[in-house]
Amino acid sequence: MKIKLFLVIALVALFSVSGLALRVIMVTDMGGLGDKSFNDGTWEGIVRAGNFLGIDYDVVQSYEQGDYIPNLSNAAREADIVFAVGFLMEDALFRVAPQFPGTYFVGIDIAVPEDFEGDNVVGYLFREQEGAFLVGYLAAAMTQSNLVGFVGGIPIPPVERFRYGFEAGIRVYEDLHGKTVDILRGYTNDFNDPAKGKDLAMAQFAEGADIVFHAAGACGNGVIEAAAERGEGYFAIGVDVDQDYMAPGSVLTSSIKRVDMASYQAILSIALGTFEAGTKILGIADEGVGMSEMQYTRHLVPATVLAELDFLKEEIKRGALAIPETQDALDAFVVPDIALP
Amino acid sequence: MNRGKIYAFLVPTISVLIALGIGSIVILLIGKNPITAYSVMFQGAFGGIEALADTVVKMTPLVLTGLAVGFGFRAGVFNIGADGQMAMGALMGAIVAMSFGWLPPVILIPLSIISGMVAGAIWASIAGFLKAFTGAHEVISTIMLNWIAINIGTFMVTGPLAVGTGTPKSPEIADAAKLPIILKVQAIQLTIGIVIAILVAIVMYILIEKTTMGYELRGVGFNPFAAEYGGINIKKNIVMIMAISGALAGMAGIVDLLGVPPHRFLGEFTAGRGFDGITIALIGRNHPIGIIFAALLISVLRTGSNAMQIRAQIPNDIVTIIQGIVIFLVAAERIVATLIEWKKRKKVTA
Amino acid sequence: MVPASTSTDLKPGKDDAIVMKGITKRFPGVLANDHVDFFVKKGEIHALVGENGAGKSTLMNQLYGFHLPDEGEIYINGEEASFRSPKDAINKNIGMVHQHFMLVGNQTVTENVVLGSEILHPVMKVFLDRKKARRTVMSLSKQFGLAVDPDSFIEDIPVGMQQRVEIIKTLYRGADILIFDEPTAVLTPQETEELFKVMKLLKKEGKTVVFITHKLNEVMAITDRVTVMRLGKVTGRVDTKDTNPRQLANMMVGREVLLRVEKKPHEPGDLLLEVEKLFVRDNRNLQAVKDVSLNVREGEIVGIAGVAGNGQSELVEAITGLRKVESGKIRMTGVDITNLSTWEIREIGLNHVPEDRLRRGLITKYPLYFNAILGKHKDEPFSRDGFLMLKNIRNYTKDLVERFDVRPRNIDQLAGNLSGGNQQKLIVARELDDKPRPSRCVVVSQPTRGLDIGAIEYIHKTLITMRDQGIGILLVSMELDEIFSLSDRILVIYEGEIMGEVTPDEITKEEVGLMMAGQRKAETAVERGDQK
Repeated sequence: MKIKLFLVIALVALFSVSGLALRVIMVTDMGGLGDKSFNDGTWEGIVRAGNFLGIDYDVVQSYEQGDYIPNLSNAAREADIVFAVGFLMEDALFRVAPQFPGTYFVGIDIAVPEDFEGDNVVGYLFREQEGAFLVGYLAAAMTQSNLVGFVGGIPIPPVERFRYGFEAGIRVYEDLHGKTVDILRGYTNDFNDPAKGKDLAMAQFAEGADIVFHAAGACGNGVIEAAAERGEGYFAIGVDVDQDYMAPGSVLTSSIKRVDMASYQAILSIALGTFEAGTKILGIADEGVGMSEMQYTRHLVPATVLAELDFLKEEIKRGALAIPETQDALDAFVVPDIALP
Repeated sequence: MNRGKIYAFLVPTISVLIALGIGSIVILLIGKNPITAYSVMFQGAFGGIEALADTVVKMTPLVLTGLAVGFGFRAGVFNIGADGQMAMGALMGAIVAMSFGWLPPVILIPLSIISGMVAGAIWASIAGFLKAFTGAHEVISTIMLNWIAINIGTFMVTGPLAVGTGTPKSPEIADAAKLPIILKVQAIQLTIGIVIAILVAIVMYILIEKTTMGYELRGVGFNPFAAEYGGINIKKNIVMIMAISGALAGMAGIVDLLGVPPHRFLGEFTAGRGFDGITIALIGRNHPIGIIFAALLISVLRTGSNAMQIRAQIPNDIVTIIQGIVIFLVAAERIVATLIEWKKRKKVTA
Repeated sequence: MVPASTSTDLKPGKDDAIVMKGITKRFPGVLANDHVDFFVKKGEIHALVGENGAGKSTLMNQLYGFHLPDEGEIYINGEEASFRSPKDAINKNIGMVHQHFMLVGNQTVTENVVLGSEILHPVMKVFLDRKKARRTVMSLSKQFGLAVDPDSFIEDIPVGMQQRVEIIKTLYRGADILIFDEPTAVLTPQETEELFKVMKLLKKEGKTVVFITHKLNEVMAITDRVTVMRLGKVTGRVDTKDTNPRQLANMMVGREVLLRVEKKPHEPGDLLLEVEKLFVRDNRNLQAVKDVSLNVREGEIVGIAGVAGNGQSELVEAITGLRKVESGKIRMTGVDITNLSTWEIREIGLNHVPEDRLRRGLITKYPLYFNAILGKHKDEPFSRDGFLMLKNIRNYTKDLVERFDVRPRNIDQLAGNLSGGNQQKLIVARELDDKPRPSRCVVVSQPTRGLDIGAIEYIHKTLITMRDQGIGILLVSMELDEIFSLSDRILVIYEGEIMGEVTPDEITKEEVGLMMAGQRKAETAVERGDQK
C-alpha cells in the first residue's frame, strides 16, 4: 500500500514536471450528468482521480443511440482514457475499441465478452444483489403495512439484480422472523424522467406500500419526491449512490453501488501501469456495493436489526450466504440456516 | 408570389442566424468563447470525412421524419405521431430483416423497408380512421399511439425479442439486410440510406406538386369544404394522408436501423427523432427540398454539439436552446417577417 | 355633378366632418387611390359607392388608420389629422363597422362592447364592472334603437344583431363619425330596413355616417349625398335628390348599364333534373326539406324563392351530393343519382355554383388555374395516369378567363386575391363551361350575393346565354328581383316545403312575398297561375 502510494506520488510529480498528461473523457448515455445516481457516481470517481493526478477530464452527453459510436470515436481521438457509462453503450463500445488500440476504454456496468480480442478494455460489473439484499432485509423489518414496493427503470440485468437481492432480503427476514411481506413491482421503462418514477411510486403508496425501493436512475428522483410528499411513515430507498440527503428522513437508506470507486480505480490503474483488461466484478467483499450510513434515519431502526444486518454482511463477505443473481436462482433460493446473533 | 418564395427562404435562414446569435450570448454567459464554440461545431459537422459522414448518417432519418410530418401539414393533418410510427416501422422491419436472412440483399432490403413502411402506415392509419369516421382529433390520437408504440417496443425487446445480456435489444439483423456501405471511416459507416432519403424527397415533391393526388390532398388541406364540393372524398383522403405520412415515418425507422450499427431494435430507438420531424417540417416550410436542408441543419447542430462538448466543453443543452429558438421564430414567422420589412423600410428612407 | 378635380382651394371648415385631400395610395403594382378628394359634412349620411376594387375600402382604411397615405392630407372637424393606427382614429371619434365583424364568439354582447376599453370595478381594479358595463350597453341600445340582448353570447345571436353590437361598440368608444363598410351585404331585407332606421336615428342625434355600398336603391333610400369612385379615382359627387340609379350606375361602371335583364321567351326541351318527394335533414338533424318535388328541363331557369334559412341550402346540398338524402328520389336525365357521391353526380353533368363562394366554391390559396379545374381535375385532358397536365390546365384556364371576362387575366394569382365579382365569374365559368365534359344542368345558388352592378349584370347575362344554349338551371336566390328577372318558372319555398309554382308574368312580387311568408298558392287571392 505504501509502495503504491509512493508510486502514485512519483507519477504525479513526473506528469507535472515533464508535462506528460493524460486526458479522460466520459461518454454518457442519453441520461447524462445530473441523474444523482449512476452517471454522477462515475463522474465523481473521475473527478477525484483527475484532481489527484492533475489530469484533464471532460464529459460528453449523447443525444441518441446513433451518437454512441461517433462520440466514443471522437473521444478516443482526443483522450487517453474513455469511459463508456451504462449498459446501453455496450454494443458501441466493442465496435469502437478495436479501432483505437492505443486508447484505454473503461466500461461501467459493461461486461467484456470472452471472445473480445482487444486488450484495451476493462469492464466493471457489480453484485448489485448483495447491497440490495441488505436494504430488502431492512425494508422487511421496518414495514408497518407489510407491503413494500419496487420501482425499476428498464428491466435490464443490473436493475433486475437489484430486485433479486431486494426480494431475497425480504424472504430471509420473513423466514427468520415469521413476518409476511408482500411486494409490488413496477417499471418506468425509462431512466430519465422523474415524473414517471413519481407516478409509479405514488400508485404503490396508494395501494398500501409504505417503503418503495427504486432502481430507476433519474426516474428514482421522483420516487424519493413521492416519499417526501407522503410524509411521515413513508420511505423511499435510494440506489447507486448515497441518496439519503435528497430528502432527509424520507429516504430510509440507499443501496450503494460504488461506481465512483470503479472509475477511480480504473484511472489509477492506468496511471500506475497496473491496468488489466477484462471484466471486474465488485461485491460486498470488495466494498464495491453496500448500504448507506443512514445518517438521517439510523435512530429509527432498532439496534437488533442493525446488528443482524452487520452479521449478514459478514456472512456474505465470507461466502456463507450467496445472493441470487438471476430469476432462476431467485426462484430456487432457499433461505439457508442462519443463526442470528 | 415571388415575394412568398423569397420569404420562404429568408425567414428560416434569418431565424437560424438569430438563434445562433442568442446561443452565443448564452455561451458567453457560461464563460466560453462563442467564436471558438461555433468553429468547433462547424468542424465537428464538416471538418473531415468522418465528421461529414456522421452528419449525413444522422441526417438520413431526419429527412424522412421531416417529410412525414411536412406531408401531413401540407394536407392539413397534424401528425404528431411520427415518433411512434418510426418505432413501429423499425420494429416491424427489423423482425423481417432478422427472420429472412436467407434471402439475397436485393430482395431482403426492399422487403424490410416495405414492411417498415407498411407498419408505420398502419399505425398512422389508426389515427386517420379515427379522425375520418369519429372526428377524433389526430393530435390527441397520434400522441396516444406514440405511447402505445413505445411500450410495445420496450415489451418486445424485454420479452419476445430479447437477446443476450446488457441493453434490452433485439437480435442483430441478417447481414443480407444491412444497407450497402458507400464509405466506411473507422466505426462510422455511410450507407445508401441517404440516397434513399433524397430520392424519397424527390418522389414526394412530384407527388405533391405534379399529381392529381397531390392536387386533391393539398386542396383538402387548404379548404376541406371546397374539396368536398369538388368531388374529393375527404374521409378517404384523410386516411390516405395519414397512411403515407406514417409510411414515411416508418421508413425513417427501418432505414436507420438497416444502415446504422448496432443494427438492432432497442427500446429508446427513436430518441425523439419523430418529434424532430415537426421542427424540420416547420423550418423546411413543408417543402420536400426545404426539408432536406432543414434536416441537414438539425444534424449539423447535433454532430456539432457533440464536438462542442468534447472540444469546447460546452454542454449539449445549448443546441436544445438553439433549436427551440429556431422553432419559435419560424413558427412565429411574423416576427421575422416584420424584422425584414422594417429593415427594408429603413433602407428605403435612408 | 362635380368633376373629379383636385380642389386645393377648398378650405376645411368647422362644418366639414371629414376632408380628405389629394389622397394617393400605391400597393405593389396597383394605384389604389389616385389623388382622391373626399368631403363629408357634419350630420349627413354620405354614400361612398363604386364597384369592387374601385378603392373605397382603401380610402376608408386610411381614414381609420389601417394604412398611411403615400400623399395627401386628412382633416377631421377642420383639424389636420394623421392616423398611424385605428387607435388614433378612435381618439378622433371615428368608428368603423366592418363588413366582417370583429367580435369574439364565446363572449357576451356586453363583454364584446367593452372589450379593449373595459370599465373596471371601482374596488377590485382588475375586474370588469359588469353591472355598469351592462347599464351602458342598455342605454346606448335604447338611445339609438339598437335592439340587443346584453347577456347573449355572440355566437348565439343572428347576424343582424351582431351588426348592432358592432355599432354599439363604436358608439361606446365615443364615435361621432361612423363608417359602415357594406353593412347590408349580410342582411335580410327586413334587417336592412331596421338598419336604415338606426342610421336615420344616428343622423338625428347629430352623428355623421359614411355608408359604403354598391346597392343603388339603398343609396337612393337613405343618403343625403353621394361620392362615386371608379378605378381609384372619384368620378362623381352629387346630392342624392339630384340623381337617379341609372346615372350613378353609369358613373360607377363608366358606361351604360342594363339594369334589367332582357331575355327571349323560353323553349323548354327534355327533362333533365327530377326531384321526387325529397326529405332532407339539417346539421341539427331537424327536418329541413319536406316532401319537395320539382323538375328542370333543358333551356329553362327554374327559380326557388324564399327567405334565407327555409331549407334552400339543404335542398341544394342534397341534389349535388353534399348532404345525405333521407328519403325521396333525385334523377338526372333519367338516371337515379340519389345519394351518389359529388364526383359521380358531376360526371353525369349536374354542376353546382355554391352559395358560399369562399367556403365551398374556391380553394383561395390555389391559383386560378387550379381553381378552374376543381371538380374536373381527374378528367382528361387535365390529368393523365394520375399526373396533372399543367400545360393543358393553363391553356384551358387562359381560354376560360378570356371567355368569361375574369379580371385580371393573370392565371397565376391566387383565387383569394380576386375581387368577389371575379371570383364568382370564375366559379360560374367553371360550372357552366361544357369542357371537358358537358354541363347539362347547373344548380346555381345565390350567384350575385355581395357583387357589384357590373358583375351582377355580367353573371345574369351569362346565365341567360347558357339557358338559351340549352342548359337547365335551378336558381336559388334570396333576391326576389333576381328570381323575377331570370326565372321562367318560380317555386316558393317556406320551412322546407314548396308553397306553389308560378310564372313571373302571372304574379306580382307582393303575392310571392306572401307565399314566402307561408301562404300556399291556393290561399292567395290569385288563381290565374293554375290555368295552364
